[in-house]
Amino acid sequence: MRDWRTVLARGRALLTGRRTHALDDEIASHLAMLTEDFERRGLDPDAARQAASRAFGGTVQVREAYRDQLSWRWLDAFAQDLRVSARMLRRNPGFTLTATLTLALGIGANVAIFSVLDAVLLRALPVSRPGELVLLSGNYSFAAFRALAQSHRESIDLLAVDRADDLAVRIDGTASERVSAAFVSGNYFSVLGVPPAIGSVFAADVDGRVGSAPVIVISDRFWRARFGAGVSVVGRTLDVAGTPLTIVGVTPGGFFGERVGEMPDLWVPLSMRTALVPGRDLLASSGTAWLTLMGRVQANQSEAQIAQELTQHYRAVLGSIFGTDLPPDVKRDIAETTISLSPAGRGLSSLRGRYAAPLWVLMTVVALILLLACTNVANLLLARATARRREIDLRLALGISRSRLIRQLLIEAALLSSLGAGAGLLVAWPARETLLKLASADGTRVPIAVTTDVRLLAFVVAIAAATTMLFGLVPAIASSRSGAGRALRAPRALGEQTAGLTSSVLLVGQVAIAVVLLIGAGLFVGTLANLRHVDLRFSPAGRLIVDVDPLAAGFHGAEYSTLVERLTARLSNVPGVSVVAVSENGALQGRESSTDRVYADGADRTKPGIKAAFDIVGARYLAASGVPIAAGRDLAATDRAGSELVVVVNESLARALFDVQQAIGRRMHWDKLSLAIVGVARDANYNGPRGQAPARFYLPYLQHADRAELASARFIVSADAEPSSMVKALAASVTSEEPRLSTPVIEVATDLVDRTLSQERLLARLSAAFAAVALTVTGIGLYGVLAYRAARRTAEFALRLALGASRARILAAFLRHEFVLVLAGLGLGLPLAVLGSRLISSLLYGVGPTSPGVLGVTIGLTLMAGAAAAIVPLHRTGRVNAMDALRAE
Amino acid sequence: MDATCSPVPYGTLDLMVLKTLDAMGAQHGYGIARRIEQVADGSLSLNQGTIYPSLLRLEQKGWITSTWGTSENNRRARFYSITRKGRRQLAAQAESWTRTVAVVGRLLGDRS
Repeated sequence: MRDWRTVLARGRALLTGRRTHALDDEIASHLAMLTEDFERRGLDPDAARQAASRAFGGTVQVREAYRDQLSWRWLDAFAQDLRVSARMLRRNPGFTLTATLTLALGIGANVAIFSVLDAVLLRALPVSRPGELVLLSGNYSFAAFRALAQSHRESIDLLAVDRADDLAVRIDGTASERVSAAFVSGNYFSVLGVPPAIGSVFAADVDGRVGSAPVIVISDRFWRARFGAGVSVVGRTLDVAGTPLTIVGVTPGGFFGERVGEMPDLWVPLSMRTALVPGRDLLASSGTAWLTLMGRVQANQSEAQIAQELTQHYRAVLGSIFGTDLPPDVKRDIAETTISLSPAGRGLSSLRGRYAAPLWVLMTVVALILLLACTNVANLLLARATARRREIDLRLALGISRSRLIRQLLIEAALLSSLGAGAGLLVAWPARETLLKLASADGTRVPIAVTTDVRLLAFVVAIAAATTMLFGLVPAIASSRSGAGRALRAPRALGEQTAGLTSSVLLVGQVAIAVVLLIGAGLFVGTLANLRHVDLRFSPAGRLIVDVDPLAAGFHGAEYSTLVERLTARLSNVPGVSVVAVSENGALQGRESSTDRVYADGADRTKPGIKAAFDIVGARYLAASGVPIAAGRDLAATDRAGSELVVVVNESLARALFDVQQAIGRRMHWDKLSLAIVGVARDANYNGPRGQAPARFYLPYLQHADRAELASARFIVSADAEPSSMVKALAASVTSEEPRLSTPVIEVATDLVDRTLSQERLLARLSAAFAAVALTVTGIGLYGVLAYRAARRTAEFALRLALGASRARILAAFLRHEFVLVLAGLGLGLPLAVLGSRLISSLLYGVGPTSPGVLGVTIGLTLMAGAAAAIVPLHRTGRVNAMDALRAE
Repeated sequence: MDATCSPVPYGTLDLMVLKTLDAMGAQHGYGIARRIEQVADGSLSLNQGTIYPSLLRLEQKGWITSTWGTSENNRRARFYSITRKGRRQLAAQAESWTRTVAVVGRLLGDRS
């Protein structure tokens, strides 16, 4: 009690402070006018002042009376309502706990999902004026970036970024660790408008000369984790991939770069890339488009105009890079190149495309869960309000006004929703972290900066307020509608029909929501199951992918190809291994090379070519990866430099080339090469169950000396033994064959297939979990209302029993009512689910809302929940005897 | 203060303030107090400060409103004016007051 008083006193002081200050001004000017009056009547100033203060009376008393008047009435009433409400909640701990937990679940789930949705889809980058940022379509070479950036400064400030990469970093001679680093143009920070938190960012001319700027900016996270947030970090030198780089600054805390879903720890000037990354010198290779370009549009410039100017200029740049002596198809490509601008204020993200739809689905699901929670609490409140009717009637009879009564009931609801929101926030934190772990493909947390910011808090407050209105108002209005005279009449008058009807409607709504969520869960679980059984047309079972990085270890040219031969032989000798073949892209890891310059022998090469994916692979690749051969042969060790150039195509490409299945012996053209088709492979879907199996061809690794340095060497290993048991032996054999190589990354192919289904798994798991929650909450709601009704009707049942009705008939009548509610809920929910499922059809695979399995399980579970909820009340009703009728009155 | 000067009867100050504002238009606290004293012509002992709680009470009920302004001799003061709701209230209370006074007058008249 004492706490309340203190809070009240402080609150009053706060609320009344300003107005009492104003009163002081008023009193002062009153006294001054009064004094002047007395002076005019001839009193000297001192006497006038005394006379004035006599006429005015005691200022202290005035102020006291004023303050009382200002605060007491409504604040006191409010405090009183609050006390009454708190007492009510304390007196029913079971009810309070159930309601708080239900609401906490609903609010917590909403906050968790919303915070992720906000971070991925809605929030603007933490840079200055993000609305001015645009993304240029396509990729660009370093030379093209420089040309474009220099000549369009008046209209657009261009910056260039490369994808973040893991680099080996050594701090003060400690063991090296993999750190995510982004290569950015020197003007990156100045164009984005990100000031350094410590030190400085790059000078704009930092990449004037290649290799001339051995500096880095580090992230706030890295600074805290690796340098203990020390200020003296500027000027320190890190060993990055063997090159010493000096730290010039630290970025502000919230900054994560331009890509949502990636968090680089180092930013390195583009001009340092050649020194740090082995392999092809991309900076010097003006024909390779690899950079992403973003820009800040200058004020008052039209984006369409800028895009047109950039396009014109870029075509000219490409012309000067590639020269004039070009095949007609390349010339046409250049002439048709266009640059378009798209808004980039919310950052770039691959997550967005992948998770936008699932996140909106989940948001809808949790919104329904919250609605369900609110309905449930509304029903609990309603049942209690009916039980409290006599108390309420009595208070009305004693003269409490209806508005005051409604206000008190609303305050009770607000108190409940505050409890729910508080507990919900506690739930939200772990829920969100779990969500981010579930969402990632490999069990690590998706790196997103999720911050609890003002918008999130506003969201919680909005939910709490909406909740209050939703579940507070219905019972408040229903129970205040009774007349004051009713308290004096019979306690069981037929006044409960309104409340009874409201609670029935709420129950039907609850069942309908549960049905919608059950159908949704059924669809997602069914989709996952279907995708797991999709025929990939190659066999990932019993296969592993060993990813070796010879370039990083310094292998080039002939040494590189010898190493690949040695490793192929060594891996084949590991016990349990049957076939091994190298490839550039591996399988199931989302890597793909593609071309649109494939022509059948004799085709017109000024026309667009056939689009196809391709991979450069070692001997016996099809056998190693488990792709059946439809005709001809697999690639062999004899397909090497000097022998006839050969190719294996898949069925789709064979069809596209010749309209016939029998392509063996004919020739196809790719780039400047003419290749003899020696085999046709079945279409294999390397991109997982959801992917397409496009036209594809396989080139023998040893015949393409210009590409002999594969970007990466991925060995497909076909094993007789259990794949996961072989990981260690394979890794050991690689490092013992060549100690210069670092430990290879080894993946089990079936795990990779699973990983391509991470989005589906996320949806299936969460929707099933939420459907289970929905069903439970609905069941509890049904039980609560049934139990309450059974108790209310004890007397009636007993009376009917005494008059000769059979027990079975009474129970049947009681059950019929509930059954009608459940059926109505099903009848309402099923059509809604069918309509709703149209919106998510792109996320589904081979299953619809009317699939017998989904429908059957939903109806079955709903009826079971209804039956379970009825057991206890039914049992109690069954034991009613005639004596109870007398006792109940 | 002479012997014929009586204190303000409980509950009548609000009515007097309302009537003053109705008759004179917007006024600051001092103006209202002075006006009431003038009308009473020395027969009422009014502590001028007590009109402020009364003004606040009337404002909370929505019968008057207030704004800051400048007085005739250039002082910052809060000016009060009656609202439409206040006028209705004034009419009702004035009538009830007249009736009460009449009843009380008759009762007292009987006795004397």
